[in-house]
Amino acid sequence: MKIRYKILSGFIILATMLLIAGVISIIELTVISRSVNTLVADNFKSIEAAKIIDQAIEKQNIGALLLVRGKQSEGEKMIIMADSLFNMGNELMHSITLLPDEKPLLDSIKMQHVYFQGLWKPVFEKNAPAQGFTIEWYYGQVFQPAMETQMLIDRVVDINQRMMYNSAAAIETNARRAIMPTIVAIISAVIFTLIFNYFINVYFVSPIVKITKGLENSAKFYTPFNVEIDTKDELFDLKQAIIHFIASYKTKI
Amino acid sequence: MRLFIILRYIGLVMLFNAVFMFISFLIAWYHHDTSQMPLLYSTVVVSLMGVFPIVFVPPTYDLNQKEGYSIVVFSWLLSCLIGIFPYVMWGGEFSVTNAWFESVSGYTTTGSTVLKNVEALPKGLLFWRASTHWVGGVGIVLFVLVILPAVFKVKTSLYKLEMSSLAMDNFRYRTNKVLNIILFVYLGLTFVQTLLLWIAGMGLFDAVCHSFATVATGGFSTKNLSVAHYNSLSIEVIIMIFMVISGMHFGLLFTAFTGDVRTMFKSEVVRYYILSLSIGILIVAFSIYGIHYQTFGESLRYASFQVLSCATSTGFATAGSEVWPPLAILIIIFFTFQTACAGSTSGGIKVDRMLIFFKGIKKQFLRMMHPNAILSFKLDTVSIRDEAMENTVTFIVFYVLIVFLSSVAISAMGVDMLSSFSGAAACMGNVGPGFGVVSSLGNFSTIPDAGKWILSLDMLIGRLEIFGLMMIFLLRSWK
Repeated sequence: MKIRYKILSGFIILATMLLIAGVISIIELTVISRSVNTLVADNFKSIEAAKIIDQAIEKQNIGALLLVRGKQSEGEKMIIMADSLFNMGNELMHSITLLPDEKPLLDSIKMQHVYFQGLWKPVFEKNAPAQGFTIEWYYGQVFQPAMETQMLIDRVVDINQRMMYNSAAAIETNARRAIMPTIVAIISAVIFTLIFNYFINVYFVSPIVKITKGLENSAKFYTPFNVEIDTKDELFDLKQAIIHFIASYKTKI
Repeated sequence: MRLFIILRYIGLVMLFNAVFMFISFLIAWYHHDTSQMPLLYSTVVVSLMGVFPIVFVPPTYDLNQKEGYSIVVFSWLLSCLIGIFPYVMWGGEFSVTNAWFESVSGYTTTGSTVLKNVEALPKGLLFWRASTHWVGGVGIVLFVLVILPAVFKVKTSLYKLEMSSLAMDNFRYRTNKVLNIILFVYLGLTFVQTLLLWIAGMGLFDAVCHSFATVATGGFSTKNLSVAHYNSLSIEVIIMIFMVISGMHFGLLFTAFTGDVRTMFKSEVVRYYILSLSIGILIVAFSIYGIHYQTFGESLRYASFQVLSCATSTGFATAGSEVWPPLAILIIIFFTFQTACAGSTSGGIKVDRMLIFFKGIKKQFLRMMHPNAILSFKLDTVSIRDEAMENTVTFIVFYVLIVFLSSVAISAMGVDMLSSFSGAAACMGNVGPGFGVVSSLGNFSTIPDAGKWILSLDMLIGRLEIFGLMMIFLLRSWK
């Protein structure tokens, strides 16, 4: 193979290694970027929404207790606030991409919300029961369902936290996978460069040095031009050309 | 010594490795697993690094011994180095040290693992892991010499350096045919065992990986509990049979399979090998009967597997032998040192050397009793010269010394004595599991990183039969 193609192949190999390392790094970094997006956009928002609904449940409990205490207007205000927070949390929850395990939990939370809205309808319509709100009513109608709703919320938070942890672990793995090809490429490129340099020396520089010395000796000591070039490339052609030149020169003389 | 020629042949070896990396990539791609990119990139890099010297250096057929030796040793070292690429790029439990350990363990067919959860590896990497065993089993160089016609004329010098010096004595054929025999037996055993395991109920992928590990006497399983995972007597029996066969001289196997099976048992080495295994199994079976297993059948089953696994330097497991009685443990440690026959893929001191050693002891006693007698001994009709006896004793002493020094170094890092000694012995003999924390169902993950590097060196020294690796430091003074 000719020298030019050998040298070209060397550079192509080097470029290919670095190019592929770059492509793989870009792919892995893109995956990381998507994971971070999911982490922030979805899991984080899901946890925030769950916290809002949790606050709504707390306010609802306070409102119900105020009603039991006979503080009608304060209780109503608290319950209206709770209902508004509940709606906000619900809307936020449904605006994001849900995990498979989340959907049935959110459906259950929504059903609880419908129940609470039915429960507070007399309050909103200023149509409170004649006997007022009792502690037994609070425990049976408000407290128990609120506890169940909070358990559902805790499970939603738990699912999202685990997902965040898994995503973070996956990001770490992907980051490593993005870095490693580059490190491997750099080390391989360094070793390759050393080997390439060695081959350039053996197959390019050394033959040129041999030819130069051969010519010098031939001119100085009138010895025959006898240089060994093993490879069939441009340097072999050069050697043959020099031999022909010397032969034709001697003939002319 | 012509470095460019050495680089050319190392390039061929790297290309051979790249083929298996590519096959692993195809498996990863088929299963859509996470090792696709690491395997693909490794394939590309290794192929490019391998093809480059071939582009530059024209084919050369005359190699001197120094060059042949350098090709063998550097091929091993470089194969172990490139073997870490898929592991480090995939990540998981693979730090650089862990990846190096796993790669060396694969290529030297040791089978020791640093992985706490083998089953977490994707299929592509599991296949690559098994491939390193299979390729390393016969020696990377032998494959290159047999497969590539362009290097036909150089087979002789490379082959002599690759095989154990003892193994060559039994070959009566020309070198070219010898290499074809090795390949024929190797491929044949792998194919037949894969088929039998598949029929016995193992999945095809697992059957291939376990066959790779058995024929190479490696021991990498695709399951955390090794062969114990399957809890199948038929699978265990198949693996046991093939472990024993793989521990025998390949030339003898070829003769037996193509001619008369009885010729195998005419060999003193084979008779001692089978006899020692039988006695060892019985002793271990009796020692664990009634304590760990209530029926003698069960004791025999588990004792057979564990003894055969260590004696052939394979390293599979069906039981946690670290809790067995001290007698059983000591017997297994003896076999960890002795291992199987020369001319097989097994590591260790080898049965042939042990026989020569015992004959040497006998000769010494006879000499003391009959000082004027002219004594000569034979091993399978071949006369054992004093020089061969001396080489054997030197080898065994050096072997034990290295195991001892490695044990001391590892125990100085805080590892308990049993684990450090058995771990060093297992790595030096290319067996795989030891006892203590590195037991048959355990792993080497708790060994400190420096200890893993020492054990990796032990594996390489053992695989290249000590002097094979040591001589690299004296290369310049060769004449």
